Amino acid sequence: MSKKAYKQRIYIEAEKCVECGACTAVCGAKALRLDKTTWKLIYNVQKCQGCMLCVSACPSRAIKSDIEDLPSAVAAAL
Amino acid sequence: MEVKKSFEEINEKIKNGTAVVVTAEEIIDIVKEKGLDEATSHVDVVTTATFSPMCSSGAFLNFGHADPPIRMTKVLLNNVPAHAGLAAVDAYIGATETSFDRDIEYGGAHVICDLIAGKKIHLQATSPGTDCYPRKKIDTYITKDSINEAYLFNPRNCYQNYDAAINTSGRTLYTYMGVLQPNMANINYSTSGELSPLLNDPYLRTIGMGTKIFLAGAPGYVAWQGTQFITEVERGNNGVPTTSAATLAVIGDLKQMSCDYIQPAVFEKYGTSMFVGIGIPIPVLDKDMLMNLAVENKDIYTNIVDYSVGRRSKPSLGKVNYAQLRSGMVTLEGKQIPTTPLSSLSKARAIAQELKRWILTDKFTLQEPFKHFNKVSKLNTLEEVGKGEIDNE
Ligand code: SF4
Ligand code: SF4
Repeated sequence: MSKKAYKQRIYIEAEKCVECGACTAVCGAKALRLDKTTWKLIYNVQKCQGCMLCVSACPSRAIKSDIEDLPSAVAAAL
Repeated sequence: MEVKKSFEEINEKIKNGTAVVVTAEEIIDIVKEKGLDEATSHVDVVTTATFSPMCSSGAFLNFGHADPPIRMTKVLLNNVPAHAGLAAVDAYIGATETSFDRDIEYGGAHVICDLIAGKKIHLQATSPGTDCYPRKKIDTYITKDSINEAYLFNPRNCYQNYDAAINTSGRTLYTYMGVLQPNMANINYSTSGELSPLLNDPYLRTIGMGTKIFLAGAPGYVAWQGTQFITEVERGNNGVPTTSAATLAVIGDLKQMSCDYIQPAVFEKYGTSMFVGIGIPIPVLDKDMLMNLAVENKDIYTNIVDYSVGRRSKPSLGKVNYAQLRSGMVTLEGKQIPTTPLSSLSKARAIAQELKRWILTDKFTLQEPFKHFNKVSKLNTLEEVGKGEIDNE
């Protein structure tokens, strides 16, 4: 079976994310969810539709839609 | 014999390193395992915490005097207006104030957090000039270390409970409770439930003026009752309010705070706010107190309120408990609706653990309130009246 490659559409800056979950309210694709034990944010690239609704819904402005927007240290680590 | 402990006895134990301190989540299993009596004698302090957007927050700053001096009447900090209707170089920067150039994307909350982070802030101030304060203008940069006092004074934080939000209309709503999808597609809620400070002390038996708290990573105090404080509300059998009730006004030294526990927030098409981290240590004075502290999400209820009704009083579509909200799905009117917290449980847990470490390692003691808050049975409303109509009895 051939493997499908998924393009990452959004990037979450871990330093800014406060794990509030506000982004999960707009993610109809369920690509963003809070883990029920740790209550930390989980992003599933395979489910992401690239709608970008989460970008403006994040109160911490932790979600970036473009790698160009990321601080260079974060981008280099990806 | 029934166990009773005073603040003094518990503080002695903290000082000599023998106090047993657990979080409000950990206490639940301890009580189940040991029973109420044994747990009351075993545990001395329970730490509670919340990390939520709290709009009613801000900071008092004293900039120090320039030479020649100025009596500032208009103040901008990174282009965000601060209230300068105080003495010459005092100002209050409110968290929700927005900037002239970046609107809600950069507001008072960002200025406060940039100050805490040690960043340089652009200060611009003007004045008509007076004989004693001749300067009319200043344009300079400050940091938290270059100014005198800088303290957070938040008039309303730490809501005891808060209604969950839903939207029955056909259009998306952008609110301080986050984005509410049309046709009841999501429910947003905002308290840390069984870990939340005032849900663990429903009648504020141990929390009042002077209570020592964890405020954004620094030691702080409860200064007063919070605004819109009300106690005589509907309560469950366990005494826990099922709607918004008590609130706290809190104060603490901004210079000692940490950005790990306070962050600016921007709510789409609504405005700027601030995530504030608060932890309150609660003493296990007796079995009754522990019974309150062992409260579980399944026994804490709140209303699901329709935000599509643009009135002061919004209708409730029903009650739900925090175990249901935490499960991620609530059934309402036969429909399965996903739920989203806006208050970060992972951050609240980190605060409860850090406060535990303060007590165990740094010997952070508890302060018995100097004054308990009075009961309040009614909130006043603002009515549009003519001058002759006002009832001033
Ligand atoms: S909304 Fe932003 S801060 Fe909140 S969990 Fe999502 S990415 Fe993190
Ligand atoms: S871009 Fe859309 S689908 Fe992808 S995570 Fe964000 S909200 Fe979900």
